[in-house]
Amino acid sequence: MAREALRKKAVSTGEKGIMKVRGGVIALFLAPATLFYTVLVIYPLVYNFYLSFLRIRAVEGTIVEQWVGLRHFERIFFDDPVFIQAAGNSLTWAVASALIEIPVGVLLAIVLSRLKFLVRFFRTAWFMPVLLSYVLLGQLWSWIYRGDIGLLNALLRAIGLGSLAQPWLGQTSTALGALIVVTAWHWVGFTMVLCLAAVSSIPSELDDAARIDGATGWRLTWDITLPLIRNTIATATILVFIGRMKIFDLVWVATRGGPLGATETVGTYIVQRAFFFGTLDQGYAAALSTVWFVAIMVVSVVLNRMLWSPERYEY
Amino acid sequence: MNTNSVFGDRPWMQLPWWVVRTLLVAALLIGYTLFTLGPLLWVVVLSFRNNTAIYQNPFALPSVLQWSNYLEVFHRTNLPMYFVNSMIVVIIALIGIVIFASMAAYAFARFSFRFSNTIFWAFMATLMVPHQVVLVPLFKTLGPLGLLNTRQGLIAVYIAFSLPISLYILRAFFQQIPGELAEAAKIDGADDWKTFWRVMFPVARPAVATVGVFNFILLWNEFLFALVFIRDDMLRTLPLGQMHFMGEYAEDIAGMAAAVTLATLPVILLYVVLAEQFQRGMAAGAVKG
Amino acid sequence: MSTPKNPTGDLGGLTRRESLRLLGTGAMATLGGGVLALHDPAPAATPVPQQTAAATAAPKVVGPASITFWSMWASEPGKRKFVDDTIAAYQTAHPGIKITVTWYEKAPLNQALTTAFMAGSGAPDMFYEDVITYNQFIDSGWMADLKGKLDENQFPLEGFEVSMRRPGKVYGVPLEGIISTVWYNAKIFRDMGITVPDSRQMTQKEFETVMDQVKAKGLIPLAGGAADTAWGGFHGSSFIMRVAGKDKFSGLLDKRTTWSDPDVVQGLRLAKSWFEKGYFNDTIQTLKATEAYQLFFQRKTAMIYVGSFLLSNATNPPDKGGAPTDFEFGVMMFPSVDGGKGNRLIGNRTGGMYSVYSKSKYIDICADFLNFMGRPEGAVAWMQYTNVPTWLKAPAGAKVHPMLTEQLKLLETYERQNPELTNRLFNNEGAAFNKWVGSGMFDKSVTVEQMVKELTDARRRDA
Repeated sequence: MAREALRKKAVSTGEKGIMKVRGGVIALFLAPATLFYTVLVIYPLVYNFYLSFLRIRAVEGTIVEQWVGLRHFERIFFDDPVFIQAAGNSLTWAVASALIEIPVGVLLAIVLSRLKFLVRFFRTAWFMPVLLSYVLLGQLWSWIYRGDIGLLNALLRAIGLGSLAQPWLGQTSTALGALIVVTAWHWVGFTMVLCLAAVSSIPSELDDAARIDGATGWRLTWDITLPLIRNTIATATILVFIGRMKIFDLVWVATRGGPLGATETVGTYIVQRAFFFGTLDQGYAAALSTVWFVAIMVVSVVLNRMLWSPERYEY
Repeated sequence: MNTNSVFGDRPWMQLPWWVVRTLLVAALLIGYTLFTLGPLLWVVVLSFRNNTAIYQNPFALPSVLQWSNYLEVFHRTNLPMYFVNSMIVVIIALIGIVIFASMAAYAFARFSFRFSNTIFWAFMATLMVPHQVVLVPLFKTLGPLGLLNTRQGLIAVYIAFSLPISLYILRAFFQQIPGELAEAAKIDGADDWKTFWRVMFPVARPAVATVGVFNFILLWNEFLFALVFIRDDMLRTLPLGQMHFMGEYAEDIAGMAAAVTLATLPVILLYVVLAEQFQRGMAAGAVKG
Repeated sequence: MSTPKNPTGDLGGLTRRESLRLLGTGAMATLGGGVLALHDPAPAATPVPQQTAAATAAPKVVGPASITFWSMWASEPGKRKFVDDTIAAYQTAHPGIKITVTWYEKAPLNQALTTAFMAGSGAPDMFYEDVITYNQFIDSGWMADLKGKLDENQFPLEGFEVSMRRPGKVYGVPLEGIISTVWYNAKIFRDMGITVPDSRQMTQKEFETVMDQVKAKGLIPLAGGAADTAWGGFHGSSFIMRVAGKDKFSGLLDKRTTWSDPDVVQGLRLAKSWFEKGYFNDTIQTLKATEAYQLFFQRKTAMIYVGSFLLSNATNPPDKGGAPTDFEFGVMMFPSVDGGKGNRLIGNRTGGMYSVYSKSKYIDICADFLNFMGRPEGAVAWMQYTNVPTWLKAPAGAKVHPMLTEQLKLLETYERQNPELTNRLFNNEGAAFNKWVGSGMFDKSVTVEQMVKELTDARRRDA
């Protein structure tokens, strides 16, 4: 079929202009970024990693550090039901978000790419939520979800579905779901813009050629457009996944991890342990973040393998 | 009704497919727009009402626009100062990010050297770590450097933590630039430094715009580092101003709504103005994978 | 290109409004502060006593000194005014001493303080403290012992003993006092013919009869807001306090008492029974404390069991969450329990206090400033600006809100006891308490047995 031919034509074999350059020049280009980064990011992180092997207390005004080896890690995996619940919530959040946000984002991008009027308006409007800070999001949606004067319940009552009005953030059954909706609302616009850009960068010749070939509407999308933006979708998915696994601010502002830990995430748990647990044992919090960091890395690599297509379309 | 029709007695199914499809698309467009803009508009409306009215009816439009909530924001907090600080900190940080990240990204994309990949992924790895975790070590690092409670300190931290994502976007862009451009510049006698600044960087404008806008959004709203590293009220940034309205027992919804609207307005305005650039940047930039 | 940088990473400007229990602020969100509009017109009319320097003796401390001061209550104009006025007056009397105050809200303040203390630099000379972190700060040695530096006539040490378990040492100035009472709508009671005994305390049976009566009339008997989990904990611990008595109750804190102790279990059971009998608003799981106040002010509920900061809230203008101007308040004790060992205890503790950093260069000057803050005029000013009780000794006859007077009267009749377990239990046990008792109290699926099991297990993990 012509579609196959099109695809074959698009796959590149070209080389980019990689240059061999003197070491001094490389250093020059890399120096400032590396400097800032090493001092302000790498060093604290490495220090944090070191902390995960320590038990920290403050005695009479000085900090006492005691080496405990792998004890924190042992506890995390075998004796910490809160961590298990938090990890479960974070993973659920990540998976649910990916399943919701990616298809919706892609769909919206496709719709926008085919729209003939008011494109700028819709694109701007749909991107707006991305601009809000998590603090704002948390506050705004707490108001929306409120049992008494919340927007959602008011709407439900107005259209006669008042029986569905419930305390969304106060029930273990609905709290997490409610927050997942919030992050979706927030971030779909970004995925959409990402995919939209990818779609627009598909040269129109391909599009026209496909149309001449008889592909229209759905088939056009499914067989031509989607595969061509596959890597963008992959990137977006991985980013959503990582972002949700780290989520903290929103939960902190909206529910603080309640009710009964239904919205506790690893992010909020780490902060609880680091600052609000009464012992100020940064060691345990450091161990938690180390564990989770490894988990996120593993997930990213796995997703990368699964989703990323090495074919490069150059046209 | 034509009972011989395939659709029996359901006339609406006889509508041509294109009509149905248009209606569905229209519903999607309108519905989703309401979904995204609705809550935002609601907050703005709330900021013009008073609390008693809000409790009665969360939905209604105010009969009279109450500007008192906004006045109170200015009265209770040092808002103009916070705004200026945010501008200074974010803009300078952006300049730093753009310059340093472009340079490094270019090196990763176009120079071949050992450990290139390793170093790059070292930069990427920290995307996965939450910020609270590095608070104490960072605090300890900034102290001796004399950077605590200064704008410079905050700027430095912002630059450092924005590097990963900026590098990612810019490197992807530089990888897509045809090699011939560099070759041509070389033939003209330019060295790598000049090549970069005269030729490559200008070409990268869309990606730079992307990086700029993206980081602006994140840094403008950043709260944690600003809270912990800045102590003087005169140096505080905008998000911290919101703290004045989020008291333990205060139920000042209207006031909060006003504070929150004021805090977000710059970002929204910036986006609306620069949307086109941003879009073009995304298109030309990091998305080809 | 994701949310990798936790853009605001905030820790709380929007701190989940931790409930009344949290030693914290009374409740001020008003513009003018301190309008005692409800029953007592006089204070509103008379000017607040000027915090002049004239009353102080020749200063014993001299500058130059530049003191940093981190205070909570960024959002409460009444308290801010009190602090600002005090600082201004003090600086006038002590040229050369400059005090710079930075305002925070509770959770961001705790973060900033903890970070500064742990890093060993950048910490303020004076700061606000309350129950959430002062114990760990004291244990860590970051708070200066002020014994001997404070005027003990103005700062009754009992204010410290009640909340702090450090006999003989003084770690701060207890500015804010919190008295926990049952508030009731006096008009509703009158209309329904309910009378409160002279002792101001009903038995549990009498109390439940009242609640049944109220319920029959279609009103909510008792309002609560458990969304922040602290209130659920407060409710549970109040009952435990009643059944188990002072000693056993404190025993929970130093692990002498186990969670499966029959008195403790009985207390939890009684607490839960009120939920099961439907005495609370059915939105209790989702309301925050302040939202529950609104139910009370809007007359949808007859009673609310809460600390004295309700009054601060009540005196805000009605539009800012205050009570209507014709609202009639009444206070009484939490009911007594049959066979309970702690029936004569009244919930009382310290709310906000100011402390001094143990490594500050200006400990003496700070202590002097705090003395200044606590002088009689200061005590009166505090009560008039904020309507919240204070441990500071106010001169007799000072005009304060009548409800405040009522509460203080109760303090004289009954025995004081800190009724809270929330924020006084730490680590896994504390977290478990907040979760299983604080939140679980009002969750249908959580049983008392489960609470006990989780708490016992958490305690084991802490060991």
